[in-house]
Amino acid sequence: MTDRRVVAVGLLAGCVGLLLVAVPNLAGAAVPPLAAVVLTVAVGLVAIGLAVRALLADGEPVDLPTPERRPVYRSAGAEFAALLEDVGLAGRRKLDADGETGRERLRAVLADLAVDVLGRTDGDDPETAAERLADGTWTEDPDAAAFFAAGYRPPVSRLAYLPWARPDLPFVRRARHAVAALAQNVGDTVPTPDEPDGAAPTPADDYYWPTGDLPQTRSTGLTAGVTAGALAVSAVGVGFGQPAVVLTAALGLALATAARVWSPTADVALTRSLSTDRPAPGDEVTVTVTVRNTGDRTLPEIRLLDGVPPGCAVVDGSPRLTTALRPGKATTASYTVEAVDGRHTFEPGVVVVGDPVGATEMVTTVEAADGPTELDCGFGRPTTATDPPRPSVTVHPGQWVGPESGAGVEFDTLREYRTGDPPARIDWRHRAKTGDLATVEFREPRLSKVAVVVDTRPAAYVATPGGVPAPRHGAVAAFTLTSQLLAEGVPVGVGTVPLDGGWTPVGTGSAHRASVREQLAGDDAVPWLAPDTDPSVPDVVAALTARLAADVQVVFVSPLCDDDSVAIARRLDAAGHSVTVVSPDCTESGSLAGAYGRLERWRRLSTLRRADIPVTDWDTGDGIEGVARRVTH
Amino acid sequence: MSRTEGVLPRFSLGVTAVSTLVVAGLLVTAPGPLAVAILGAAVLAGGLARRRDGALAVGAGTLFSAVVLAGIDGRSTGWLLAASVPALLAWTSARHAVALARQVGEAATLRVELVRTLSTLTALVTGGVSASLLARTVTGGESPLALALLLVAVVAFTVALRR
Repeated sequence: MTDRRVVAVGLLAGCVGLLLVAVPNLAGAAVPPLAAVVLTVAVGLVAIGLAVRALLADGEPVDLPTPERRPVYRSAGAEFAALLEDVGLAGRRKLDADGETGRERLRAVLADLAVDVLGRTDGDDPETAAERLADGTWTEDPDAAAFFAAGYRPPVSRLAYLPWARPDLPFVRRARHAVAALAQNVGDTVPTPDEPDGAAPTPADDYYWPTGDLPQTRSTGLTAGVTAGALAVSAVGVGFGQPAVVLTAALGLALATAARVWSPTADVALTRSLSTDRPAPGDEVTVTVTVRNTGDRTLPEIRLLDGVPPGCAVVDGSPRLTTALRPGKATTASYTVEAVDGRHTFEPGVVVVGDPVGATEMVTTVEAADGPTELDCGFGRPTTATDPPRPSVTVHPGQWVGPESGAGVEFDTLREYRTGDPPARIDWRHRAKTGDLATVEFREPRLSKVAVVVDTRPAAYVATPGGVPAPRHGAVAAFTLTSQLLAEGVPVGVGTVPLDGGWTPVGTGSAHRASVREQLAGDDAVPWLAPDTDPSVPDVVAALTARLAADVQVVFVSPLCDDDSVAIARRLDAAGHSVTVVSPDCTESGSLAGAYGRLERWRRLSTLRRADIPVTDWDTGDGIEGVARRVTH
Repeated sequence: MSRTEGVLPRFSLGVTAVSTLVVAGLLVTAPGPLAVAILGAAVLAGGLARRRDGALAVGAGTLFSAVVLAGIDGRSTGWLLAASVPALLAWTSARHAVALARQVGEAATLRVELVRTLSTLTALVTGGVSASLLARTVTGGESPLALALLLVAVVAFTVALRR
């Protein structure tokens, strides 16, 4: 039935109803009392059914993004927190799908780590280390020793089984002590093991800014509530024979009518200005955003959320604004962001326009009509002269000594003269001594070539709480190294692992440097959010080696927060690309989970060094210059 | 999608509180409905504290039910409509407070709160006055069929408005 017919039925029923209220005798003449009661009950049931349906029809309210802070990234060692989470009272008996309880899995993981740590720090072979763990002589901490030496089910207080209890289980406490003892063993910062870590924030999913079906007009749920209330109170009024109660439905109908009459439209324009669009890293930039009503009627409620770039954290003010605007009027809001390295693009502002009673709202995104859309920070030429990244990568082209002999200045070998050899290379002394002609071979200088590769796999997206993710630190380090090598005349290429972010072939010159800057400063090659796909190690190595000539050395920039990063470095090195690893340290030292992450990373650094792959452990707090300064022979 | 964690805006909270107190004041002579109203106010306060729309609807619904209970007990049509206005205003203001805290956070909200409160109050008073005028214009006896037809009218109008 169309709206008009429904309204016509309503009007007819209402008029006849009011007529019967005025002249009750008409009803008795027209319809028997029993039929009236049956009709009343039937319509009442329909009303209640419609009320329930109306309540269930509307979904959740719209939540806006929170660009005030950077996206939440995985913290190094989060897997340890997950392991601890798996150890519960239920886990004392329950087996999981692998036939292994959370307790057994936690002990197996820590035992593997402990054997490795004891082997590298105390020189124990695996059997000896396992024996020390089993008898508890590896540490002086009794709780840490008991984790490996005692059983899986230490006694638990009966109070721990109460439904609301959140006990600190002895097995979990011992695990924390074990991690603290291992951290002490490697000389790392030791967090307090008696206090559990707080709940870890959930890493960001692929959503940062709404890009879906916008603009979108949606109900806030008010109409549904009003409808349900009106129908329910009408049914109650009829049931109790109270026309006055039925009339209260008019209040709900008035609200619903107001919402129906005034449908929201997003007739707004947005302008944005920056105190500077080329700040230095760490500078504070004031953003002023203005919203204007460009329509011909008053907008009773506008909520604006400016599109703060994901890499910029708001340090003062708010990018949110709410107001009511008459036609042609405007209002402004200001907030301050802290600039970090990179070229940050502002997202379109999210605008929510509501109706006067809050029943419906339109959600849309509005691009800034005027003003800068980007904040370009850092990625300049480094001022500190530093060492090259590898002994064989020389500061002057042509001084790297290649594996083959030929023309040059450094003696290599003497061989039998062949026709056509230059007379200048004939060894006349040898001729005088032996009577034979011999030609001198010199070590042949070669021009070294370097590829700087940034790890942008999902596993590389780790960060300290509220911090910059490791790949973005990696982009800064990669650009610094590239600039330095280019300044010294070394041809450099730049890419990412995986190669989704594009590949800048090996080259030299200022134009080449500019293209590398374009690649690394923006967020296309090294995005602020982790990519969805996680290709396998063989795939990423094959894709990279297909782009690299045999004599190109590789500087691999990775936080080394998963075992695949080690595998990638070793495979590239095994392929003859003479790998150097620069590893930005994005682990956290203040928590047990962070300590576990640092231990795992320390193990990976140690593994690479044992494989004769130079690793530079870069504390990102040292700044950009720290990268090249620490990469030494 | 994550949410902001701003504080609830004071003006909307004040409107909610005053509206609830007005309802309670109107019910002070009816102990049964007053108890129901106090229960509704408590649920409403809990919904505000936990920022749950469902709890707000239940709380305001309970508050409104208290008014309807008093109406069934023999109050006049005018009193019933007048008491229903603050009950509904408490609900809409509480919803607005939660929505603003969720979407706008710490930004200034007084202007839109004033506009929303006045708009809602205007709509409610208009509806209430219309119903009151209708009740005064049409007087007579009570007929089961008349009530059934009035209910049909309400159902038809709400269905049309929901489309």
